[in-house]
Amino acid sequence: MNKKTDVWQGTLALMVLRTLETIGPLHGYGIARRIEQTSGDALLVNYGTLYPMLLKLEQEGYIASEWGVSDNNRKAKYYRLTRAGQKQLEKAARQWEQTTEIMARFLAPSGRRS
Amino acid sequence: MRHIRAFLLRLGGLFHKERHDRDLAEEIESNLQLHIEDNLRAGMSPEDARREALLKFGGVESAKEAYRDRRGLPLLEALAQDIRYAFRQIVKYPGFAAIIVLTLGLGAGATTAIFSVVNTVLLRPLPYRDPSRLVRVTQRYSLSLGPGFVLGPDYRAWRHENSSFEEIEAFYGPADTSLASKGAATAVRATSVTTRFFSMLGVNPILGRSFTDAEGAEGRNQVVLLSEGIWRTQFGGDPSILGTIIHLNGSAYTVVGVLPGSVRYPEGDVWTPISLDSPMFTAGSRPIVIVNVIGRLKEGITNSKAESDLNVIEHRIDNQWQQWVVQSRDRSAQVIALNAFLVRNVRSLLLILLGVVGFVLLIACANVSNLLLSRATGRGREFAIRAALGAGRIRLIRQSLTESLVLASLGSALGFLGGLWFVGFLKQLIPAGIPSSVRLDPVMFGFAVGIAIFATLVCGLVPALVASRTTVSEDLKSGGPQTGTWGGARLLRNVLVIFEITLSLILLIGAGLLVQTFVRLSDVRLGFDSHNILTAKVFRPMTNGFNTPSQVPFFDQVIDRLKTLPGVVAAGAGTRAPLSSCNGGPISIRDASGEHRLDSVCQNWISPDYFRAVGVPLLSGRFFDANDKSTAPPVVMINQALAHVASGDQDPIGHEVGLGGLKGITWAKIVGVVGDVRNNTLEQEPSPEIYIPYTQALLPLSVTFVVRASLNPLSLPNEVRKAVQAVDKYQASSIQTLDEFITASTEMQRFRMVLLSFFALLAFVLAILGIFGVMSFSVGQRTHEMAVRVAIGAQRSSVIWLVVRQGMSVAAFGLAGGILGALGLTRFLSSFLYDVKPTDIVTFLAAVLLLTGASFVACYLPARRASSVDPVKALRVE
Repeated sequence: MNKKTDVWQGTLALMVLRTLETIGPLHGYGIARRIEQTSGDALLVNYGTLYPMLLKLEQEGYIASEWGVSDNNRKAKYYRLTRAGQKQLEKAARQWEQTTEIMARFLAPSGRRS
Repeated sequence: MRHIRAFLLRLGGLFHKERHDRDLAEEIESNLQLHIEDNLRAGMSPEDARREALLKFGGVESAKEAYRDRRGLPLLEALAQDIRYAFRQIVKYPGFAAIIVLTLGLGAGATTAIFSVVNTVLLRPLPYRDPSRLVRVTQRYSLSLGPGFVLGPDYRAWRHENSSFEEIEAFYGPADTSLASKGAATAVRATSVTTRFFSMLGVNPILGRSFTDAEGAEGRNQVVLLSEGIWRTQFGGDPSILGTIIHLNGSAYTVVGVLPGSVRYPEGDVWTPISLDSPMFTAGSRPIVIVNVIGRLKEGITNSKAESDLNVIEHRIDNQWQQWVVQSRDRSAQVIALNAFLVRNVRSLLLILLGVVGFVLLIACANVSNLLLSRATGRGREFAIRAALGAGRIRLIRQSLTESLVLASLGSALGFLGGLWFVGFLKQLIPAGIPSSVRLDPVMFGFAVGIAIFATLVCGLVPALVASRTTVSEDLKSGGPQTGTWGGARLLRNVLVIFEITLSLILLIGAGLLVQTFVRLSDVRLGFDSHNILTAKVFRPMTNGFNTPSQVPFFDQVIDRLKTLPGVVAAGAGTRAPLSSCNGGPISIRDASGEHRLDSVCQNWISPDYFRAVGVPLLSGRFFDANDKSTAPPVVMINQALAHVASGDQDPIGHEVGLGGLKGITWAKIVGVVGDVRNNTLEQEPSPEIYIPYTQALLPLSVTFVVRASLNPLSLPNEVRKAVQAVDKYQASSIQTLDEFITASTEMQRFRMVLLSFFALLAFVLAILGIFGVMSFSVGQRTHEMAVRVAIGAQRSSVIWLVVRQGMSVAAFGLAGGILGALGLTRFLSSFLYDVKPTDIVTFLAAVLLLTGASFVACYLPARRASSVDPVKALRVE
C-alpha cells in the first residue's frame, strides 16, 4: 500500500459518504455511477477499490448495509449513512476544504501572494 | 475507538468465511446486473451490455481478493497458515520435534525454578516493615557458643544505652516444650521474645493482640501468642481461645493472640514474652541467658557505626564487672543485615545452582540451535521449490520463523509445567527462617523462555536467510539434500558442539566431586555403633523454677524406668546427644607443667551409664559411678581429641580441669578417657570434649535420654514417652532413632548431590545428543564422498576412522575447554566437599573418560552406518 493509494482512498471515502448523504441509501453500483457522474466522468471507480472501501466504512461504523430491492425489482445491497458517518463526513469535509484552501494559496499565481 | 471496532470486526471476519464470500458474490452479481440493465436501457445489445459491464467492472476475482483482505486480517491468516504448516511438520518428524521441545522445556523449566528460588531467598526483601534497616546483631566470640548469640546482660545494656537503633529486640528459642491443654500434652516449639518484637517487624496478630510492655515484667509474663498453625490444628481455629489458660511445661499461660501463618521468623509454634528484669539479664549474676538480637537501625546509621556504639557499652560493662565471663575483646558486637544473615547457609549453594542451570539452559539452546541448523540446511530444496512457486523472501523467512516459534512455545509450555513441579521440589532448599513462600516467578519464566525463543529464532532465521537468498534454478538443478548448505553453518555447528562439551564436562566434574563427598560421608567412622539407639529429648526451661537439685531425681527416675523396658540393654542421659551440636566454652587444664587455657571445648553433662548406652569405648581410667555425687570431689572424663590437645603423649588421668561456674572456677580431676564421637555435622572431625557427671552440674539442664535396645527399637518410642510422663506428666519428649538422625543429617549433602548430578546428567545427555546429531548430519551429507572413497578402494575402517577423527578433534577442543573451566570453577564447590579436593585428579579423569567415550560412540555410530552403504547405491542416488 503506497502513499498515493492512501490519498485516493481518503478522498474516495469522503466521496462515498457525501454521495450517500445527498442521495440516501444506495447500492455499490449506484455509488460508483454517481461518483463518476459527479466528477464529470473524470474519475473511474474501480470496484476492486470500492468494495473494500465500503467494507472498511461499514467496519468503522460510518455506514450500514442491508439487502433491499431496487427500482426495477432487483435484489441489491443498500448502503446508508449512519449518524457517526454524518459526523465524520462533516469533519472530513471541513478538513478537506481547509486543505484545498491552503493548497490553493500555494498554487495561486505568484502576483496574488501578499 | 473506530479502529478498535474495525479491528474486532476484522478479527470476526476470520470466521464464517463461506457465508461472507457468498454474500459478496451476490452483491457483485446484483451490481453487475444493475449495470447491464442500465446498458440495455441505453440501447445496447444484450451481449454488448454484458461485455461492457464486465469490462467496466474490472477483475472480479481481484476485487474479491481485495475485499477479503479488508474483511479479515491477512497477516493473521498467513500466521495461522504457517502455524498449521508447522504442526504438520511436527507430526511428520515427531522425534525431531520431541527432542527440541523436551530440550527447551527442561532448560527453561529448570532455570526458572532455580531463578524463582534465588529470587525469593536472595533478592526479594523480607516481608516486614521497612526491611532494609533490619539487622541481626551478634557477638564475635573467641569461644563457641554457636553463631549469632548475645549474652543477655549485654543485650539489656545495649537496649538502654545505644544511640544507633530505633528499636532493638531479642528472642531465644525455639525450645521443645510440652503444651498441655484439656489433659493432652503435645510437643511444640516455644520461643520467647521481647514484648515489642513483633511490632518492630510490623507483624500484627490475626486474632487478639500482641504483648503489652507491662507483660515484659517478671510475674506478669504468663501470657502466650499462638501461631496460626497450632491454633488451627490444636484448637480447631476456635476464636474464643483468647483468655484461655494453657500449660507450657507445666506452667499456666493465658492466650492473648494468634499470629498469622506468615510469621516464620523467629521459628516457633507459641511465643511468650521475655522479662528483662529477670536476674538472668543482670551482669554478674548466674546463670545468665543467651539471646538472639534483631534491631532496626536509625536512618543513616551504618552497620559499623552501630557496632562501635555497642562495643563502647560492652567496655563499660567490663569496667563495672571485672569478673565477667568473657572480656569485651572476646565478644565484640557484629551487625549484619537480617536478610544476609538468614540466607548465609544457602547463599553459595543457590548461586552455584544458578550457574549450573544457566549452563544447562545454554547447552539446551546450543542443542536446539544445532538441530534446527542441521535440518534447515537439509531443507534447501524445499525452500527452493517454495520460492519457485512464488513465495517471497520475506514470506519464506516468516514461515521459517513461525515454525521455530511454534516449537519454542511448546517447549515453553512444557517448561512451565516442569518448572511448577520443580519449584515444589526445591522448597527444601529454603532456610527455615525465610518468611516467604516460593512460587514460580512469571518474570523469571519470561526471561528463560525469552532466551530459548531468541536462540530458536536466531537459528531459524539463519537458514531461512541463507535459503531464501539462493537462486531457485540452481538449487533445483543440483537437487540433492546438501543444497542450500551454507559454509558458515558447519563452523557454527562445530563451535556449538565444543561449547556444549565444555559446559557438560564442567558439570560432570562438579557432580563427580559431590558424589565422592557423599560416598565418603556415608562411611564416616562415627566413633560408636549407631544401630538400635533411640534418643528422647526433653526440655526443662531455665526460668520455670526447675532448679538444679530437683533435676537429678527426675533424670534418675526416668533412667531407672527406661532400663526396665523390655529389650533395653542400657539407658543413660546427657545434655548433648551423640551427633548433636556442641555447646562449648573455655576451660583450663592444670598438670605438672602448669596451667593453660583452651578456648573452645564441648561440655556434656551425663549420667554414669551414658557411655554404655551410646557405646563409646573407655580408653583409660574409669567411667563415672554412683559415688560421683554432688557432694563428692568433682570429677570429669575427656575424649581422645582433648587428651591429645591437652596432654600430648602424657597420660592425662589425674590432671585437673578448671570449669567456670557460679562461684568462680571449680577444679575437677580427670578420671577417664573415652573415644571420640562426631558432632551434628558429620564432615567435621570430632572436637575436644569434656564429660561431667550431671549430679555435679551447677546449672539447670535439659537432657536427651539415650536408650540402646537389643533389636530395632521400633516399638520403643511409645514406651519411652510413657516412662517419661510417668515421672512428670507435663513432659513431652521428641524421640528419634540415631539412624534416622544420621539420614537426616546427610540429607542436605544427598540433596545437593542429587540435584547437581541430575543437571550434570542432563547436560551430558544433551551434549552427546548434540555431537550425535551433528555427526549424523555431516556424515549423511558426505555419503556420496564416502561412496567414492570406498569405490576407488579405500578400506571401510579407514573411512570410519576419517569421520571419527574429525568428530573427535572437535570434541577434544571441548574437553580441553571443560578441564580448564572446571579447574577454574570447582573451587566454588569446596565448602560442600568432604575429604576430596576441588581438583581431585580421579574425578577429573573419570569425567573426561566418560565424555570422551560417549563422544566416540556418538561419532562412530553414524560413521559406520554411512560407510556400510553400498557405494553403487549411494552414487546412483545422485
